[in-house]
Amino acid sequence: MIRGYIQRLGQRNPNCPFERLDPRCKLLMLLIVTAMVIVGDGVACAGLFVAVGLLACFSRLVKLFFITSIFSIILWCVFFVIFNTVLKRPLDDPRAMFFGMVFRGTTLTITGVWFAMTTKLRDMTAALEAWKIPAVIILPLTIAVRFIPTLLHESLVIRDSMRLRRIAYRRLDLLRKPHLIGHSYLALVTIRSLKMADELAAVAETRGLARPGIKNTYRPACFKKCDYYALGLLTSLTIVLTTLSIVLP
Amino acid sequence: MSLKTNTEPSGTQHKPNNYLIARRPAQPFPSRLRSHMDTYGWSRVSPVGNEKEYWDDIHRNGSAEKNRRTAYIHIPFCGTLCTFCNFQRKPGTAAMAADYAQWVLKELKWYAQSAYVAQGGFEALYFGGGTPSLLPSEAMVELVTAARQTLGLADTAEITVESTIHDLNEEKLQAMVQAGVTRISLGVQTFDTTMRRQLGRISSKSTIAGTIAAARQAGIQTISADILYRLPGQTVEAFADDLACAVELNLDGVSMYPLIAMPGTPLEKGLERQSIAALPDLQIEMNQCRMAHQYLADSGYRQDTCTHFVKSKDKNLYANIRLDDGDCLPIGCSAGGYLGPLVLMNAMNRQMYQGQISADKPGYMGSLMLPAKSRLLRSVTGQLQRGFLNPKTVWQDGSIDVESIIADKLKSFQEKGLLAPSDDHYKLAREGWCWSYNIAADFANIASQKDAGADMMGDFSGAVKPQTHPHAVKYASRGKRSGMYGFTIKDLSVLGVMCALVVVVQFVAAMLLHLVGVAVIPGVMQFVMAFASCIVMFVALRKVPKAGALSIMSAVYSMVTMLMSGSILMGFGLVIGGVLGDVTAKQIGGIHKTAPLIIALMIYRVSQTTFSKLYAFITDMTQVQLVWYLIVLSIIMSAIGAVAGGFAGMKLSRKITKAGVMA
Amino acid sequence: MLKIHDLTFTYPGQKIPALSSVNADITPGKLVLVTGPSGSGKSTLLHCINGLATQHYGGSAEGEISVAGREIAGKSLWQISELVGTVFQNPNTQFFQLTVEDEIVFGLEHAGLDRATIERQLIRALQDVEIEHLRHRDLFTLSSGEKQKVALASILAMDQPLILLDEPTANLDIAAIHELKEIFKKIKKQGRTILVSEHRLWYLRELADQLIVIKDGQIAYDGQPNILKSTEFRDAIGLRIWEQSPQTKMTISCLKKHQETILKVSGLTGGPSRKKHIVNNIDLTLETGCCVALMGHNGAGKTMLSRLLTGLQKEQQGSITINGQALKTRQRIGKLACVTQQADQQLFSDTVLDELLIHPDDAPATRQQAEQMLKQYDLSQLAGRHPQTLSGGEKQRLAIAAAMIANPGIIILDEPTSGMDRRRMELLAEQIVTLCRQKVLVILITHDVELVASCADQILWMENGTVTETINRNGFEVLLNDLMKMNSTNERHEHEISNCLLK
Repeated sequence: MIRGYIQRLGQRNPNCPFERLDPRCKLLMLLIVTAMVIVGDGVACAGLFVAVGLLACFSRLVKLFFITSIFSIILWCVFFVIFNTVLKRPLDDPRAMFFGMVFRGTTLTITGVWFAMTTKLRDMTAALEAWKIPAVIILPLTIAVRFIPTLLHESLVIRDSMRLRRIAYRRLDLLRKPHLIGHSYLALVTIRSLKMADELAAVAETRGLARPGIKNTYRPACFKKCDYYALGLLTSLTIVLTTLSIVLP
Repeated sequence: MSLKTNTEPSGTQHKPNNYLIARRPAQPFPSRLRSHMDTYGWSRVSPVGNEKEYWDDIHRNGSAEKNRRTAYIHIPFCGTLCTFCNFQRKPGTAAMAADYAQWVLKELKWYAQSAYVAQGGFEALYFGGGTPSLLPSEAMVELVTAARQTLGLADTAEITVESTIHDLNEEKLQAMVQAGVTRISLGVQTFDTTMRRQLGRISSKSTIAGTIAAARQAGIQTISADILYRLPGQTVEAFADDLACAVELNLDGVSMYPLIAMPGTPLEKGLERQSIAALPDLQIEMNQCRMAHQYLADSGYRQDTCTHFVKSKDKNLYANIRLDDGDCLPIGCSAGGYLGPLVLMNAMNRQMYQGQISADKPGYMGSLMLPAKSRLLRSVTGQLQRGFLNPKTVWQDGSIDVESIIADKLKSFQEKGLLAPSDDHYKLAREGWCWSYNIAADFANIASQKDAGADMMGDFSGAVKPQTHPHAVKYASRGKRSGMYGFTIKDLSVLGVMCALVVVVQFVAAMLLHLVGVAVIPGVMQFVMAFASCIVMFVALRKVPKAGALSIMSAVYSMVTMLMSGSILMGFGLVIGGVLGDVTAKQIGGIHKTAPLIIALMIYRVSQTTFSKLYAFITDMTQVQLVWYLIVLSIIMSAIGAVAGGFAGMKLSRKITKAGVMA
Repeated sequence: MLKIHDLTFTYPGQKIPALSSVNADITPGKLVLVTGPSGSGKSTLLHCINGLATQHYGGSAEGEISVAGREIAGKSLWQISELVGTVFQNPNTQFFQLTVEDEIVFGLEHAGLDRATIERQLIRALQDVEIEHLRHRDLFTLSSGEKQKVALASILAMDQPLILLDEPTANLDIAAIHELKEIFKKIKKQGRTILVSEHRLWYLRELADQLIVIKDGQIAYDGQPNILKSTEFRDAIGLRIWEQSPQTKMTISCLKKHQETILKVSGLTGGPSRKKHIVNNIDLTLETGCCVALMGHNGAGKTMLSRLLTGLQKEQQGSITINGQALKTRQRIGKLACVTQQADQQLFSDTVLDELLIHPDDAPATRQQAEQMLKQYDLSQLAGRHPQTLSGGEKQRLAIAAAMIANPGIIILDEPTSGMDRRRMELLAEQIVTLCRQKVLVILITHDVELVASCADQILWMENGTVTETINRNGFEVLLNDLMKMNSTNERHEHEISNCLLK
């Protein structure tokens, strides 16, 4: 599962229009939406909810959108029923909670997932470089993302080795002997990681990654027309929702 | 055009053959060093780390050292390639050179705003390469004029352009003179046409004479030529003919070099394959050298440097200033130079060079800071190449006892008859001139010798005396690379991989909890996740115990979280927690100690949990009391998990130390 | 291109230098093969040339190395990287990015080149290594051979005059080795100088221009590679095969006496998921005291078969009978011992002795038994060391010992000789023969033709998930010859044709 995630971070999907947006623009959008969700009132959040729903339609997140909304509704219903009916301690503002759980919650989740799904690692690092974030953050980021599948694979191999030697290979052992996991698995995977880091550093040095001087990016991050349109769209949405929330009760 | 235009009376009719030396003096060295490149033993130093800052400061505020100044512009193109050359050059056309000149002009614009350049004082400008004369006339004029303006060269400054015979025509010579070129250095190598062809040169003997005359006519003040000896199969007599031609042409300066078969050149390959005649043996070469010295001296030339002979008009300023410990501002692709204690190098290939210029920077790529002893030895070799050695003037700020460093070698060379005392200094004897590179290299290599004498002098790289340059005190070596904030590639690699491990371990822990079925118990998940991540982070920070490491790891982890789930709140929480933790650890003793590290991890983890629980606040779920309690429980459990993880991490790092990975 | 003068190198904390008085002179455009027994200093030499030995590993070096006329000493690693490019052994720890294009471009970006040049060099590198079709592929989905090609492409894109390769074929199967050989031919024609450090020599027969043999840190031979034709020379140094295919040695033939069947597999089908079957309908009957080599190209299903046999993967259909008992997946775990390619991943303890004492509850080993085992595998003097600090061969012996202490009747060795020199391979072959004598069934999954020739009794050739051929000892030579494409009639024929054409 994680491996699939990470693979998705590298592969570009030419059919997706959102991938063409600069990650800085998307990050800004995410920030604005989060701010609005936190600060805005019920009307604004309802408006955002609809807008995010539309976004989900275009980015193949419709299923997730509906699942999240329905799950929040069910959870709200459960709380409502338990507190109002069973415990006889009514909630202060069930309407606000409904708005919060369903509208705010779903909006935050879907916008976050949309960002994650449409941003590729290379674009993200290019955007960070454009923001003059130093290499001390960008290089470890690249390495970290690239090594997650490798370390996962290592973990699976170590688990198989443990099973073959019959060390903590049953579910029960997890409860009876959790320290064995630490001793065997964690120690070994940490040693392997550190060794891999050392080898990788040697490779990095011989590739000239420590070179001072300017670094040119093959696909540099730059704001294009679509970014401005997207930001413009979001700004107008913000204005409309703010106006509506002031005008409507 | 006859060969004898503008000939001064040369005195008696003597032929160089009269100077063939019968006796063979003993050889003072096992082999002959033939190039100034062999005398750079003093430059074998490691980078100090603050070279770029030093360079930046000089260009921002000017230099306080009173060195004489020159500038060098490199044109790395040649129309044809000589078989013996291994300089930085590529085959090119005039159009390519003109294109390249545009880049150099841009670089000159950068230097126009340098405080160092504004201080002025440039006495000489040298166009080298490659073949600078390949530039078309318009480009040449533009470049020379711009350089003169930028460097503020006076009309008396010497501006030299290296040229081939065939590039120079009347129109180009006139343009050069108009732009301000005062001196040309012709790559003649030999007057013998057959030999010229073998070396890859084009023009014939008569053309050479004609061009020299045309140059004089156009108004070039000084004409110098390079002559090679030790050519394949060349006898002493054949060389004598070359010398006679040179004297006849009344050149203002003659440079004489022994041919060297540089590795990788077509000449070397030809010698290996034996398609070219073998180079003359050492005795013939030495005879050629001695004969040349004597003959040229008798023909009215003075030996200026170990390779250059001049008549009155040729001041040879550029070479003399460089050998006098002067600054040389390098301009252009793969140019090198000096700036105070720095040895400078510009970008080595054109792509890099153009990349720098496009980014509004000069061509500067890197430099080495020379410690005082190296500078002394550079000065010593500079004097020797000019024919003398004066222990009093070779290093003048009093910080080094010069005599004691060079005394042994001085004595030994005097005994061998290569140096002779004269007043308060020493001069190269007749024989010494022929071995000047060997002598200079011997002195230069004192820098790398670890003998008792050197130890007695102490460590000069840190010599701090009142007269040393103020910058040397201000920029004491920090050993850090700017931009990397003290972290090495190894550190970053470890932080990256361990960050990946944190993600994986947390994932594995979550899976195991679900497998066992305890994930639903409130607080357990938080405890285990905090425990798992803090164990790994403890080990990582033990391996990279630098301030800022926790901030980096948390920033990277937050980016990874953003990329995988888009959770901006958690991202904030991670970064804030990491930075807070780092700062706290620094205040209470440093992250390399155990207690501050564990506290830092706890702060980090609590911050992360708090921010991720903000979700509950935003969605108003906190109206339900239970949710409040769960949030508080999560935060407490993650704090406990972090501390427990820290202690477990301590145990783990001790365990894996035996595996040899924690070095 | 490369001149080494009197190089002596010592690792930090060591008294004996790893390399002493090494001299070498390599002209441009040549392919130089550097070989020697394990631990002789081959990798150290390469690391000295690319600067890692002094600057990364912290050793001290004396002597001079110059590349393309420029000295290495005093240059920082990134400056040296402009002249020297290195391809390392393990394709998995050489990559920084997720896709092929990003990986190749990564190094070019750091060189400060402009975008047009980066694009040009990227395309050229892809063409040189013939991986244009992989340009947008994910690195994790590539095979080892393809990964190694990508690593080579990223170095070629940087356009360094000297390329070093540290055991590039260690993790590759034979088809991939042949492809790599063709690529070497191509880039050699482009005039690059290539230095290959290898144990596996045969694939460089027609390519190597110069041979440098290092033994005990000193140069034992520097000259023409055709000296490798001499068996005495190869035996003296301990080098692997060069021209002839390996001789099939005489071992205990398990077909002579009737041995009891220990492993019976019928109709075995399985794979990573219900729908995807990698292993299809395998029937096997194997006897104790035999050594069976399972060979086939990558992707044929060998590893999956071993996972099914050991119980790590559940089978979809079929049955596996061990010692007459049909065992289900859960029951099989632990019955077969398995030692994988990376012995690192199987050593869990803090000391070598403790490794043998890790025991499952149902089959504890005593200290005496453990010490006995250590003696048998020649590890007694290492009893107190941490397993991760041992050398490759020692780790493997320890892994086998740890697997055997539970007295399984069957042991599977997965790629045990990748990156091994001849002496260690012969030691391993002896160990396998000893195990066979102890009535253990040894299943070898390997590409190593020499190991197979030394100790296997049978070869099972797998293709597409089934065992297509079972070859006994007398049929070995044909198969092994075929694999190495060393059929001499073919070579003679080609030689004759080219002679005719030249006239």
